[in-house]
Amino acid sequence: MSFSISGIRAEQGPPLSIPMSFFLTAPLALCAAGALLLGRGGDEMGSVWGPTNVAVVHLGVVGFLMLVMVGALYQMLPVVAGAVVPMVRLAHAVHALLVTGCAALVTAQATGNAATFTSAIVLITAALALFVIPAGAAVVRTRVTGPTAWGMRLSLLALTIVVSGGLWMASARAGAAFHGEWLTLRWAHAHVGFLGWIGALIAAVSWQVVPMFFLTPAAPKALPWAVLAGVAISLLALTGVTLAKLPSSQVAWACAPAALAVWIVQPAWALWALRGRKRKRKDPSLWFWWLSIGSALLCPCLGAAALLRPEPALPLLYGLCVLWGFGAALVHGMLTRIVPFLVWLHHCAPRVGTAPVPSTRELLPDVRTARGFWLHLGTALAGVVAALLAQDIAWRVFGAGLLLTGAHLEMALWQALRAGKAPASR
Amino acid sequence: MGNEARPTAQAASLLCVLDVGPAAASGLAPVDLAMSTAAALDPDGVMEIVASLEPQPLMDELRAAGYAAQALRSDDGTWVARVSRGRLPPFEDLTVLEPPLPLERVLLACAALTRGAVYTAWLPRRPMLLFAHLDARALEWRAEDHPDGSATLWVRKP
Repeated sequence: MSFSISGIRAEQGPPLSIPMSFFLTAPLALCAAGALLLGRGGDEMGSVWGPTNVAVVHLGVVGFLMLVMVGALYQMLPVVAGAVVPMVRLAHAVHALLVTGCAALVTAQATGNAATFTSAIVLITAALALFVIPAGAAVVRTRVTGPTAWGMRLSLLALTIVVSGGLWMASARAGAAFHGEWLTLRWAHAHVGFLGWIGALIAAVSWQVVPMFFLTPAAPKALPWAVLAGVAISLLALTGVTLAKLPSSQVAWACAPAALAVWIVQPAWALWALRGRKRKRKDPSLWFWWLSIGSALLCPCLGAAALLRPEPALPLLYGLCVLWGFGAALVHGMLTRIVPFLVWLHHCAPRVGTAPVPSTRELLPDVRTARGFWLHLGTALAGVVAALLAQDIAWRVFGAGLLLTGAHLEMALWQALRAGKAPASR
Repeated sequence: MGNEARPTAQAASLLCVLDVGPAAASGLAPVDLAMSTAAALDPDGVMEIVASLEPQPLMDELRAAGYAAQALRSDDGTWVARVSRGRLPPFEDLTVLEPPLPLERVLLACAALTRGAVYTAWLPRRPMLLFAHLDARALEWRAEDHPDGSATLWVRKP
């Protein structure tokens, strides 16, 4: 039964300003990451735990990926999972807290300042609470029981675990006593994020948006449940390994079920589904999917190589492949489809039949999406070169790539928003 | 206005999707089931019969009983027979359009509806995001899911 909350129909999702505030801020984090690299150079980029590297990574995962994924969850929970987020206007506070929390965290990581770590802890804890409690209540209460709803539940749980692990480390950096196994916590924190939060959410959303946007067959019934089972087992195992203070070598075993599910089974399905799409037209947003799928399939190989071989470039390539190739490529690509769709729905659909309205392709032309893809791919290649050469100039080129990709995406999203509000030219 | 609930007596009379496969498997005669469902149709209502084979005998029976019937085949080979008491209302197959084109086509068709006219469309999935726009235009509507995840939309301008 349809119903209304403050005049907004539940299945219609939140006001456009809620997801858009997250989507429009996220590319700025890429610009900030690029500017940081350009400014500080590659001296501290040789190790995945170097201060600049950690700061750049967190601008990517918290500033870009997390912001987009939280905004997308506000939009998708009511529409896809039938879960109406209570007090949805709190999203604006979550947005402000996440942005300032990310800025504080990255500053603290880059400078090592204990007081800034404390500020980051307060801001991110508040953001997490204001997001996870209402969103969690919504997905727990919903009567929709499909795999997408379960995937969202699982990814929210993973988000809570990954942020808790991060806050635990941040509190140690802020001066609190630490009684865990530091290296285990670091790797478990990273992989709960990679596989549980990013991986499960990407998978859950894919089961909806791949058939919807690309007119493909739906996923076979057993596949989503197998993927979710793999992620759930790894979440339990990673939490157990961390709390039991086991050696960091055990993290790889704990990751294995989710890595198989998220980086092999799920992309194999996406590849099969996209090859069977009904309309095989040139679509640059699809190129991001190919890049993400290809990267996903590479992730387990690079992860295993980084574990077994001593070359310092391997962990860097692994992180680059997971974050920029698998996660960011897909998020970038989906923004180029979802933002014009939402803008059209909110600004153009009410005018259909009474005035000419632009199409979604007029809101964000393919040529612009294609340019964004080439920037993204070029930045990925620059990152590979930088990891292999380990030279300052190469890292600065990678930084320039991040800056340009973020700026281009930001302008593309604003263009779509402006074009949706304007009267059509035809 | 719209009704999101599963078919009730009133909802079924305006739009009903009948999957004859499970009915036949449970021992019900598809013809009897189709006839009894069709008998409850509103004069503007539409019944859709989903079948794995072309439901020609069923359509012959329905036509002989005075119903209008038309069959079409989906991309996956499933047959859908559309049945109405009078003339079948205008229908569009929008299942091969990417979003938001199906929404745009429905809204354009609805804008052209005259008072009392009915429009039906077959959409790739349940058009959750469309319903508020139909309500905003004060249109009467029904939506029913097909077993494959697609959906039929029925709209009337009161």
